[in-house]
Amino acid sequence: MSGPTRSKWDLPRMLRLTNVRILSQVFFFVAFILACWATWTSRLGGYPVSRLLEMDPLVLLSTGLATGHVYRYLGWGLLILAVTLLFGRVFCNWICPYGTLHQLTGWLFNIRKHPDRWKSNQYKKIYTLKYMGLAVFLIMAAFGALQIGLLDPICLMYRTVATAFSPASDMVMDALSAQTGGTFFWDALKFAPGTERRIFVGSFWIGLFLATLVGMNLVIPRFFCRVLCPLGALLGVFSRFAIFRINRDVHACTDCNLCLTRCEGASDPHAQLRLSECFGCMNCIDDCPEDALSFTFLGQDTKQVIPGTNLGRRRLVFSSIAGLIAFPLLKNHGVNTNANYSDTLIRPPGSVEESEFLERCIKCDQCINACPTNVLQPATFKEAGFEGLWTPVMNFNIGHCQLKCTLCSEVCPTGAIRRITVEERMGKGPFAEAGPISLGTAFFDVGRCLPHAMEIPCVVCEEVCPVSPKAIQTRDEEVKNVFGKLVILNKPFMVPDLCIGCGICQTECPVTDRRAVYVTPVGESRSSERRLLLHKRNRPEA
Amino acid sequence: MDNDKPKQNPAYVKEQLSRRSLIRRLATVAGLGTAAGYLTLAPEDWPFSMKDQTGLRSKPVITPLQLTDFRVEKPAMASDVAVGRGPNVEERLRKALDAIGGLTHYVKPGDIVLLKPNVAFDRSPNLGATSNPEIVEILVRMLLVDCRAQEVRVADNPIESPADCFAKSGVGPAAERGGGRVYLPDSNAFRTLNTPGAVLIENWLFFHRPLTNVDKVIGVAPVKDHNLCQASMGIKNWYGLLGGRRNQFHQDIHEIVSDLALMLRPTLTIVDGSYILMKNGPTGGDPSNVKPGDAIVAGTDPVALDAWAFEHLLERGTDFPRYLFKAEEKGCGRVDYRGRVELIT
Amino acid sequence: MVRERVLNPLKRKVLRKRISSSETRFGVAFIVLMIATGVWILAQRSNFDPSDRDISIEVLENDSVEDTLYQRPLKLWQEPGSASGGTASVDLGLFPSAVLDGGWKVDGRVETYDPDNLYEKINGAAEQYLSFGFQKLHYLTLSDGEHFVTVEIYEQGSFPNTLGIFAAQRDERRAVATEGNAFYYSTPVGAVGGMGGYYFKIAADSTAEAALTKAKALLDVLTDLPSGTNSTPRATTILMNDLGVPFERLAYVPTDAFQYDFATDFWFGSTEQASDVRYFIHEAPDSEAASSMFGRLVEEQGYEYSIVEQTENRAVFQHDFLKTFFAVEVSGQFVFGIDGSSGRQAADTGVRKIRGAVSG
Repeated sequence: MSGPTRSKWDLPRMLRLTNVRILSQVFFFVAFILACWATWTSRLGGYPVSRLLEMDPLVLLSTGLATGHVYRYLGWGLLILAVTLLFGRVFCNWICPYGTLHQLTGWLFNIRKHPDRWKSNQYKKIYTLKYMGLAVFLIMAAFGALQIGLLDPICLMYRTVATAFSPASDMVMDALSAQTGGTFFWDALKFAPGTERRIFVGSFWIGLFLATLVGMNLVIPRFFCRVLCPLGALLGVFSRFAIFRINRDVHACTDCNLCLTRCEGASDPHAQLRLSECFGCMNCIDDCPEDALSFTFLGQDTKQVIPGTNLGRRRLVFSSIAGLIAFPLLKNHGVNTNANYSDTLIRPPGSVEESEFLERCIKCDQCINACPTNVLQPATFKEAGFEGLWTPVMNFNIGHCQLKCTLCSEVCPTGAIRRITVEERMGKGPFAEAGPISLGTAFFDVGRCLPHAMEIPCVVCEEVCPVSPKAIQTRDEEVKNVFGKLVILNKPFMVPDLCIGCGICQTECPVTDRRAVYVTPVGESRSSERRLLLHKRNRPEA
Repeated sequence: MDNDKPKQNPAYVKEQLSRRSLIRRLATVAGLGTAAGYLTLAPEDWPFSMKDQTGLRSKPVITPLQLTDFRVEKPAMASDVAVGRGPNVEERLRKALDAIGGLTHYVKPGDIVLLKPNVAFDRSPNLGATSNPEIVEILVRMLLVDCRAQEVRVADNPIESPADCFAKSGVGPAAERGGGRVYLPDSNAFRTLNTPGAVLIENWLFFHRPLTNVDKVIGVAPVKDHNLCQASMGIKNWYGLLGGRRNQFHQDIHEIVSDLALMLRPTLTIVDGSYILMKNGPTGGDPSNVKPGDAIVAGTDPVALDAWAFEHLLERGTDFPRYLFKAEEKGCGRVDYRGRVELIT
Repeated sequence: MVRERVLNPLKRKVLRKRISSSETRFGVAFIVLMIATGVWILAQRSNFDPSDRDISIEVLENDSVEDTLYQRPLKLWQEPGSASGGTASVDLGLFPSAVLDGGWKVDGRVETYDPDNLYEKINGAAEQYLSFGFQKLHYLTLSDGEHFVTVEIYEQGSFPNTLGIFAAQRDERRAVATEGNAFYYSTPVGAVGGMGGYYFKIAADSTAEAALTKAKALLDVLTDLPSGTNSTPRATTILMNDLGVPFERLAYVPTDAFQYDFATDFWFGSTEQASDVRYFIHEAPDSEAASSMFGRLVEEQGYEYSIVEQTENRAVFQHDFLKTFFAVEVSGQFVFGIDGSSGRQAADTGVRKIRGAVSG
C-alpha cells in the first residue's frame, strides 16, 4: 500500500478486518433477534430458529458428556470449533450476539480516558475464573447434571430475549399501536402478535441477571466474556491450537501500549499474546501506529505467545473438586426426585423422563418462546429446585397445552423435549399402542367447584376437554337450589384413564385464584415411576 | 513502505514457526476435526456414531436379568405338602420337613441359601404380622449344620424402615444368632427382573442382591388376614422382593400375587401356623388379633400349601382367594390339595 | 449539577498505515459468505413438512373408536315427602308416588331382591316363588310416624305365574274380589292379590284404623302399576266360561303337576268350593307334544291307579286306595281331564264337558 492517502472510497480501508468484523457482528445479532422474532407459530415455517444454539460447541460437549449422544443438529457445534481451531476465539467477537451486546455497551458508555483505558484492558488473574467455572460445569455434566445453561451466552441471551425482552418490546409496540391506531405494522414488529401479551413467571430475575452482567461492563470491560463465559473458556481451551493469530513483530514494536486501548479480550497483544484470551477483534491492528501487529499464520514468532489458559494445575484440581461436590449437592437437594417432586412440575409434551430431561435441558427457553398459548414458563425454585431453574414447566393458570401443537418439541435443540409429531402426541396411527402422551392428571377440588359446592351450573371444564371421549364426565342431577329454583347441575368428575393433562380445564376454570380443577404431573406418560393407574380401563390388556 | 524505520529491540532474536510444525499442526487439526465430525454427524447406524436423531437413542437401555428355577424334585414317596404339629416350633418344623423328604434332600452341601421371611412391618414378634424368628433361627442352624450350606442369607424389602423391621421383629437377631447373614435393601440392591409370562411385572425392579449366586430359596411366611386379597401367606410373601412403586399393584392384587408365584419358584415354602393373624391384617398389632396354633406347614407346591393354610389355619373355608386359581392357571401349582397333604401330629 | 458525559467521546481512529491485499480479499469473501448465509436462511422458510404439525383425517378415521362410556341418567329432583320434614327424597323405584299420599313417608328405602338373594328376605319360602318364575321383589315400608304398612310386589313374569302363586298361597276362607285387572282378597291387616305379572301383599302392623285405611288405599294405588294387564290363556277361558269355574278357584301349576317333573304348564279348576274334584287342562305347543304328554301321563298314573278303560286318546283310572277316578283325554293340542271324581259317571260327564269346550 502506498502511503496514507485518504479518499472517501478507499476500498481496502473500508474492507479492513475491523469493519468486516462489525458487519459480521451486526449480521449475527440481527439474525439472532430475527430468530427470536420468527419463533412464533404464525412465522415459524421452516426457519432454523434454533441453529445458533445448535451450533454452540459447549452445548454439544456438555450434552454429549451427559447423555453420550449428539442430538439432531448439535453436530453443527463442530463448525464453531473448526473456526476456533483455524482463527482462535473469533466466535466471541464476530458471532456471539451476547458478546456484541457487551461490546456495544462498552463502546457507548465506557468513558475511561488514558491511561485508565488501556490499563482496564490488561490481563488480570481473575480472568481464569471462567475456566474454573467450565471445569465445574463439565464435570457436573459428565455425571448428568447439566447447568451450563445458566451462563452459556447463547442460552442466557435466548432466555432473556424470550422471557424478559420480548414481552417488554411487545408492551412498547402495543402502546405505540394504541397511539397511532395502526395494527398491522406494529404487529409485524411484535414478537407475539395476535395474542394477549405474554407473561413469564420470574422473568424479572432473568432480566435482572442479564442487566447486571451487562452493567458490569462499566467496572471491567467485557466482564462477562473475560471472567465468566463458559463458552469463551471452552473456545479458549481450543484456541491454543489456532493456526491464525495476532503476531507482534518485536523489531517494529515501540512498546507504546496503544494496542491495549481497545483490546476486547485483554489478551496482552503488547507483550506475549495470551492466545486463549484473544477474541480476534482486530482492534489492536488498527491501533498500532507501527504496523507491528498482524493477523497471520505465516511468520509467527513462537516466542511471542502464551497459548494456554494460565489456569494452573492447582486451580484445575480445586475446580474439579468443586464440580464433584456440586453434583451430589444438586442431586440430593430432593425437590425434584421421584420420591418427592413438586405437583406443579409439569413438563411439555415430548419431554423425556425427568432425570434424562435434566441431562439435556440447557434452559435456553426457546420452547417457551415458541409456545403459542404462553403456558410454558421458566421454572422457579418452587417447581424444580435450583437444578431445574428456568427449565420449561407448564403453568395452566396462564394457558393450556394445545392438543395439536408440537412446536416446543420442534425447536428444542437438545432433545430434552424430543421431536414428536401430532400423531405421536395423540397416540394415533403407528403410536396407537403407546397411547397418547399425557402430561399429568387433572383433579377436582369439589369444595371450590361451582356445581359441586355451590349449586351453580358451570362445567366449562367438560366443555373444553379436548379428548374424545372426554376425560371429564358429569353426573347430572336436578336440584332445587337455595333460592328455591330448580337447576340442572352437571357435576364433573375425572376419568383419569383418558386425561392427557393438557390443562385446558384448569385454564378455563372460572375459579381463577385457586382453580377448582387442576393438573398435577402424576400419571405423566414419560415416567413409569410417576404412573398413577396400573391399567387404563379404556385399553384392553395386550 | 517505511523501510527506513529504525529496528526496535535489535538484540531480540525471533523464533519463527517452522513450516514443518505448521503442517503438523494443520494435519492434527484436520484429523481431529474429521474424527469429531464423524462421531457427531455420521448417521446413527454407522459404527461409533454418537448421533441421536430422534432423542430416543440415549434413553437408558435396561437389560433385565432372569431368575433361575429354584425348585428341586421331591423324593418319590414324599407328599407335596406336610403339616407338622407339636408342642414346640422345632418339633413342628422337623416333622413337617421330614414328611416332605427332609431338608437335606433339598439343600446340598455348599449351597448358598436365601431365606425370605416376611418382615414387612415394624412389629414385635408373636404379633403374627412378621415371620416367627424362632423358625428363622432354627432353619438357619439346620441349613448350616445339617445341610452344610455354604451361606444362609436372610432378606426382605419391608414397607417400613428395613433396619428397624429386622431388629424389632426379632428376625434379624435370630438370623444372626443362627449364623445367617441379613441383607437389607438399599438403592443398589435392585435390578430389573424379567419374568416371562407375568402380566404386571414382566419387567420390574427387583430386590436382587441377596439372590446373586443363590442356589436355593426358601420362603418363611406367617399366615395373615388381608383385607384386599383375603389372605397373605406363602405366595404373597414374595411381594417383599419387589422394588419400585409396588403400591400400584393393589389396583389388581390377584394378578400381582399370582405373578409372584411365577416370578419366584422356590425350593420350599414354609408357612407358620404358630401365630395366626386372624384379623386387622396384614399389620395387626394387638394380641387379640392373633390366634396361637400348633402347626407348621412345609411344601413344594406353594399353591396347594396356601390353599390348605387358608382353609385350616385361617379357617376361611374353601372359598379360596382368586389369586390361587390364577396361580394355578399360570402353572405354579394346584389349588386342589386333597390327597397331597400329610398331617403329622 | 455537574455536566457529565453520558457517551464515550473517543472516536474510532485507524493508526495503522498498511492494509494488505489479502485482508481486502478476505473482507470481500466474508461479505459474500454472509450474504449467501442470509439467502440460505431466507430460503428455509418453506423447507418443512406442514403435515408434521397436524394429523390427517385419514389417520383419525383409521383409529376411530366408538365412545362407549356409561352415561349416568339425569337424576331428577324429587320433592321430599311432606311428612319427612324435608329430608332427602327417596327413590321409590317401581312404586307410584301416590303410595305416599296422606302424609305417609318411606321408612328406610325401597329394597329390591332378585332370585339370587331372595332368601335373604324370606328364607325358606323363596323356593315357592322361584318355582313360579320369580324375577324381582320390591319391598317398601311406609310409616305415618305411628303405624307401619309394608308393601311387597313380586314380579312373577307373567299372569299365569301370578295366578299360580296366588292360588298356591291363597287362604281358602277369604273371598276373592276383582277390580279391573286386579284380583285380591282381604286379610285382617291388608290384602293379597295380583295383576298381570305382579303378585302383591299389603300388610299393616296392627288393626289400627289408620293403618287399615292406608292398606285399603294402597290397593287402589297398586292397580295403577304399569304392565298389569292379564293375558288370558285359552285354558282359563275354557275353565271359566265353558265349565263354570269361578276365578277364585282357578289354579296354575308351572312345573311338577301331579308331582311329575315332565308335567308342566297345567291349569286346574274346580266348580265347587272345598271340593277335591278338579278339572285340568294342558295346552301343548302342538298335537304331537300333546300326545306325548298324554302317553307319559297314562304310563306314570298306572303305578298308583288301576286302568279302567284305555283307548288311543283316552284313559280312565281308578285310584287303588282312594277309589277316586282320574280321567284323561287328548284332543288336538290339548290334554285335559278330571281328577278326584268320586264316580265313573261323573268323571265321564266332566271329561265330555271339557271335550266339548275344547273342540268348540
